[in-house]
Amino acid sequence: MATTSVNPLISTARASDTSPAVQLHPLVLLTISDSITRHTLRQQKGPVAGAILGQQNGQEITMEVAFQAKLKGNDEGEIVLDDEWFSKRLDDFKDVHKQPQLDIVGWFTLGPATGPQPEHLPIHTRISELYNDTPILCLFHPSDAFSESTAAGKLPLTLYESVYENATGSPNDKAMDIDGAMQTKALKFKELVYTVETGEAEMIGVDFVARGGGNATAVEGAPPPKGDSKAPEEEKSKKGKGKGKEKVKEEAIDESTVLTAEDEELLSTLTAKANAIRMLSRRISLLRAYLTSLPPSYLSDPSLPFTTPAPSADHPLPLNHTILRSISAMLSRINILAPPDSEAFTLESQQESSDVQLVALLSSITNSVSAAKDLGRKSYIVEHAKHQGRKGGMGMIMGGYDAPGGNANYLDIMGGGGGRQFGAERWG
Amino acid sequence: METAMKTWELENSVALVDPTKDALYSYSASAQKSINEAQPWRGDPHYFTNVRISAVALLKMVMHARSGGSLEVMGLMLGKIEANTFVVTDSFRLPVEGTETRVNAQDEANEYMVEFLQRARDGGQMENAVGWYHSHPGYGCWLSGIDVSTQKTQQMYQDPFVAVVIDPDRTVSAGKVEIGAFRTFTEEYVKEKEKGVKTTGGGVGEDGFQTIPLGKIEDFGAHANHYYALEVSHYKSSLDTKILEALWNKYWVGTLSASPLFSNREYGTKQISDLARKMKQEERSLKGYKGGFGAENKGQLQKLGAASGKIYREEEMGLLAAKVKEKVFSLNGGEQEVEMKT
Ligand SMILES: [Zn+2]
Repeated sequence: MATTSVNPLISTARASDTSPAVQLHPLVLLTISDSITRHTLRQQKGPVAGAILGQQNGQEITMEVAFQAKLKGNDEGEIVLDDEWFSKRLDDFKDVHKQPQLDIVGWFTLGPATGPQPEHLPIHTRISELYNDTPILCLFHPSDAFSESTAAGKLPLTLYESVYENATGSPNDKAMDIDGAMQTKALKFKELVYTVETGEAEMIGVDFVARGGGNATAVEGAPPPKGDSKAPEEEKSKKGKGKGKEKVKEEAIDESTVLTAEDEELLSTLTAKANAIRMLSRRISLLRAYLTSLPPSYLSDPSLPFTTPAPSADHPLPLNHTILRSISAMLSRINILAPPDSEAFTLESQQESSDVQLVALLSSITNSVSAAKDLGRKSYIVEHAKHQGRKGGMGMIMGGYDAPGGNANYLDIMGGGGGRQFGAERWG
Repeated sequence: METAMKTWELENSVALVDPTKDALYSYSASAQKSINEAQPWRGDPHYFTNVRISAVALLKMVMHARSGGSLEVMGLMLGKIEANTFVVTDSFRLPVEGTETRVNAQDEANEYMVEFLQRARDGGQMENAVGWYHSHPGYGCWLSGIDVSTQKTQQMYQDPFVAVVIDPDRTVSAGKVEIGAFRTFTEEYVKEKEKGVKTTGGGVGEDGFQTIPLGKIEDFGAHANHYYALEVSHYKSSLDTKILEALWNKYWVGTLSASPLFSNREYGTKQISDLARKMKQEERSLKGYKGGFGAENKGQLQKLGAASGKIYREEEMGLLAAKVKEKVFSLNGGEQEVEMKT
């Protein structure tokens, strides 16, 4: 399966300007992940595949939602879509994604990092016949999911656009003849670049599920599937093995006794910001490291030959013009970041900030009024009790409130009027 | 071709799933059937205590709620029951949206719902519908009178069923998902409770401070003792965790570039003007206030203080984001000069 040789289904043509730019949304990824986990744990048969819906505006394609499809085997032993089910399910989704209207833009399945396999073709051609001339194939690579590169931020998937190429124009046409079936035009796949896009609410949602601790162990106290009493012990041993995660949870509980919910909220916002800044700084130092590792350029030193130096022991990295151009473009864009009218901008951001401070001031005034009103009420109670006490001949200046009769007096006061003069009226 | 299919299937067998850690993703139709037959929740109005929502279901609901803007949207949740917990495995949208009254227009959605569920089953998702969700854009997570009666009907004919409410506006302004899950009591239980000690109060409002807009307060107050809140948490699979880690490397930019102060201006303004109206009302009631320390007014000012504190915190969080951005990118070109001069 994981052939090291060239995959005959991959187009050798160079990337063209007509290739679409894809924006991939996290929900699609989580739907794929959900399908895989469910499929595995429920021991369902057959491969995992599904549809991806999004918008298509010219060369720009978004991938926003996805659903797992019902598959079946046909007479030729191929795995194909259950057409009736699929078209109805697609309508189900289109019915509730009308603003903006989403439609099928591609499909997902699992496959090796080497690219699409012949057995993927029946579904792909079916989708292109019925729904979308040029569906995008999103190939999820299970074997990469737990790899280093995924941890470093490379998603374990590749997107492919499909193109029809003249078999004769391709140097691989011999190989395809062996596969048979291919005549003049052959279906080929070309890797696409994509970006990950998140809407505002989507980002908060993703962040929320990413940060929250909950893994998906069975609910405690739920009857164990085999109905014996082993469960509590298993639960314990699981906790013992659960190393880091459990500890983190315990610490979080400790923290929560000290910090209020508001503190926690602020803390997590700041932590997210700090992490993002750390990431930015790491990216920048990576670029710097790359630039310093490059051999000296003839642009800065005229004595050097007018050639592109080959990687050497001192400078192991090759000169990559695309990267250099991107860096240069980014540097030139930094100037645009500064607003053209900085005075107005300063003024506006100061206004913004004073607005917030005003809200803070109003909030603290409200709380002060509330506290003052409370104080007024309490002091009235004490004063009144003192007064009552003196009248009653007890002569206690300090302890009127604590006097044996105090409780009864207190209740009297609660019923009596006049408290308003200490109330918020003076503040309002 | 047979072998080709086998190799394709083999891709599934790569160990991406941890049977213990991901146990919530399994499903036993027979176990669910026996729970549904035993109905352990029948005699106990507080039987259900928790709701656990899968990452994908939660994300779908949050995005659906936000997509509705100021309109309420609604959908259903699929899942199962484990002990005292609703486990929500998936959610889907229903083709209804609108104001409070129209949310209840279930007939429209009924046909869609039945067909959707049947197709889910045909496609291998055997779960039952275990609840419904809808959005309260900007006015907090609680059940209105209509919601209460909808939920009561559901619990009568569809039980076990849970109601989930999401506030997309507060989600964006607070930077975290604002969600609540509720179960209603039977009429008899409510009456019994009302006869008993008054101090027990409603299920909501006890455990957390909810700011409810003036226009909705009456509705809230009238029905607050007809339901109680369940604890909501979410879960994710080991594969989700890996993917989310990888995603962080992509969307961290958004964390820095977001401008909550700007994108939530409308919400913030609404909150402030609502508070101002409540303040006016409180002022009036204090002025015309003759009868001593009325119990119903006690603490109202304190509540307003807490509400204003909440607004301030949200605004402050937005300002913080702006400040961080300014410091990191020194967006404000003139700033250095200003600092030099002073
Ligand atoms: Zn409602």
